[in-house]
Amino acid sequence: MNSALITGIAASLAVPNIDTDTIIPIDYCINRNRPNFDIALFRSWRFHDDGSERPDFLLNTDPYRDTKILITSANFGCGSSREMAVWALVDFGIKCVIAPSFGEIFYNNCFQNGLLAARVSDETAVTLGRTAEQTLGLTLEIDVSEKMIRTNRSEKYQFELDSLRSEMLLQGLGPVAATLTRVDDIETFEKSDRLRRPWLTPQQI
Amino acid sequence: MPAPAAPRLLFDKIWNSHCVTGLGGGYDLIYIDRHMLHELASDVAFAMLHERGQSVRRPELTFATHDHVVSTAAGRQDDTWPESAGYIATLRDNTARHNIELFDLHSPQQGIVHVVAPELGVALPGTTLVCGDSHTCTVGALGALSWGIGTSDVAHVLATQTLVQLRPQVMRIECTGRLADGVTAKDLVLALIGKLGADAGTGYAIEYCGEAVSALSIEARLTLCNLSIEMGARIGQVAPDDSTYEYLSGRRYTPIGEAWDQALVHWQSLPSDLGATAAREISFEVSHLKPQITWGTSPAHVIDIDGVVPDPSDAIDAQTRTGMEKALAYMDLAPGTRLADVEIDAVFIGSCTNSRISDLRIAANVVKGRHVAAGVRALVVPGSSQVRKQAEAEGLDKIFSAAGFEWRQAGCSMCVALNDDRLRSGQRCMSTSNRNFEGRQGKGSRTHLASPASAAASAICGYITDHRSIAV
Ligand code: SF4
Repeated sequence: MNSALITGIAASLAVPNIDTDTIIPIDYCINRNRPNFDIALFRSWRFHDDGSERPDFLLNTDPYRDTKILITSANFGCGSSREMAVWALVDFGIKCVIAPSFGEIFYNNCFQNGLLAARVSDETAVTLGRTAEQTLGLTLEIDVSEKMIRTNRSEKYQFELDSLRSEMLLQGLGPVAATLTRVDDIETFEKSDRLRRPWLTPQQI
Repeated sequence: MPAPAAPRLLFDKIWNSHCVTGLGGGYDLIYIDRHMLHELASDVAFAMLHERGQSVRRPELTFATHDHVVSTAAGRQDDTWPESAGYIATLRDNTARHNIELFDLHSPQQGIVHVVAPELGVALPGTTLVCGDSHTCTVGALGALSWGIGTSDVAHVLATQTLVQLRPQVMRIECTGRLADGVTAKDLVLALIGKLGADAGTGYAIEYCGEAVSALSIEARLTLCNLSIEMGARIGQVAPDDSTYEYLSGRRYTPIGEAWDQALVHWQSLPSDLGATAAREISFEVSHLKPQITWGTSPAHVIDIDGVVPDPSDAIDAQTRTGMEKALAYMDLAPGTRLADVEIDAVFIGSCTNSRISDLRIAANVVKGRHVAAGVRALVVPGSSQVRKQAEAEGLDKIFSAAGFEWRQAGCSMCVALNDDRLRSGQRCMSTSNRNFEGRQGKGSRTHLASPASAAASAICGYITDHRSIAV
């Protein structure tokens, strides 16, 4: 992302416990080439069995086809660890999901892929969701450095983000590359661990 | 000997001893002792690794098998389910290239990752174990620290044998009392999720303790820890004890001889110290529990098997009400319905929750000498090829087959519906798995989670049944 600001249309999906099976059904995860997962996002909520759109689903209506920010309820992304759930959101164009809480594996996967998961209080989630429902095409501005969500009516809401995750977003930090700079520490650990736990390396009986 | 430090919890002891270095802000670089791979979540991870020109740091700590996509049909081959052939071939290539042990399709060790890790002694007390699958919390039952990770993290572990982790807090759940006859670990944990909620464990590692937990067999503890993620906790654990050591002794990768003695000393030091306290302490009395069953699309949507479907208008807030209404519409159920009268189309006994030999014995005991109701499709899918072999040695396969169950090969099967083991839209299934999400067992499928005994009894009756009502 490499930018402190996310601006765009916000859509409200006020259902608790939206799981990653709902975000992307397993059938669409069967693809070993990391294709564009856009059409898989919320597949059964968004499309009929024959592939035609469900006209009543918010993301199928204008201006919400251009949704950049999703405001939702507690425990978003619970369930399966499938990283495709994040890829589907990203491929659709979502830059930020706002919720009071997230499934933890999903939360972690978000930041590996430059998607901001913004944790807010229950009240903020409800207020923002309601504002989005009442204002067609509500635009929000999200400041990652300031950890602040602003509406165009200059209301402001704080969100939670720790410094490591915010750095990952702001600097596009690759965690593997960062860890590999600590390879000396890892070797030191392995050396002392071999003495401490000589039984650890598996030997087949 | 240094003076004993402040009392510590099981979790703290394992976490601290795996901390390679602190990273600030509550993050640590954690060393990973064991890494399980399966065909579905490893392809892209290996591709990431190769793209960056990296190699696998400790291939001898890494084990792979096929479970998610493979066919479970008798006599299966790589392409019996066509989609699986590419996955199988790629995992074979990747494990051969990097010198990683693979329990291949026809290996006697093949099976669901979370079933084979304990049964082969890959998972051990006091070790950290990860896998690209959310139910990796299962093997915390042995006193391991284990959790599920996404694809990017799988690539991270392959390359570095470590993970960047935010230290969770600990929630200790003390289960008091004794489970009544016919009430199992599955019922216990479903009831817990119903009481605490599907996100109560977010940010926590759970330690289950208390007399009711100590009384559970290791296989039952695996079932208990398996559903920790359905409570939001990535990690669920039980401290190792004599049952653990007895279970592990003599398994394929369990230390032997002097190594066993050294390991045992270490393992015995792991249980939480007296006086150590967790950030959240919960007490849960289990004596009154009945068999449980889910009615909705979250494992927290759970009631006693003789109960009625709750009314969304009683919900505590608007969002919970919306969630309940959506779930009832999807499940085609009305508030006030007695679940024990609801007809079913299918029964699935399997998954990393309830596919071990003790589960199959319980189910076989219920169905012995009876027959599956007309119009019901019933599957038994052992969690591993070893479980399958053991069950056949005991004649359980004959009991199931005679009763009209399909006796299948080991894999995830209808838990995740990645192959042709799936329901048709609108079909209703009693399932011993762990997720009743929309579409989980096939598009439009309706899942009721329950124990193996309840699932077996329901297969016989053709409707949701309290197995105690048809007791043998
Ligand atoms: S059995 Fe189901 S829950 Fe367990 S690993 Fe397989 S797909 Fe996941």
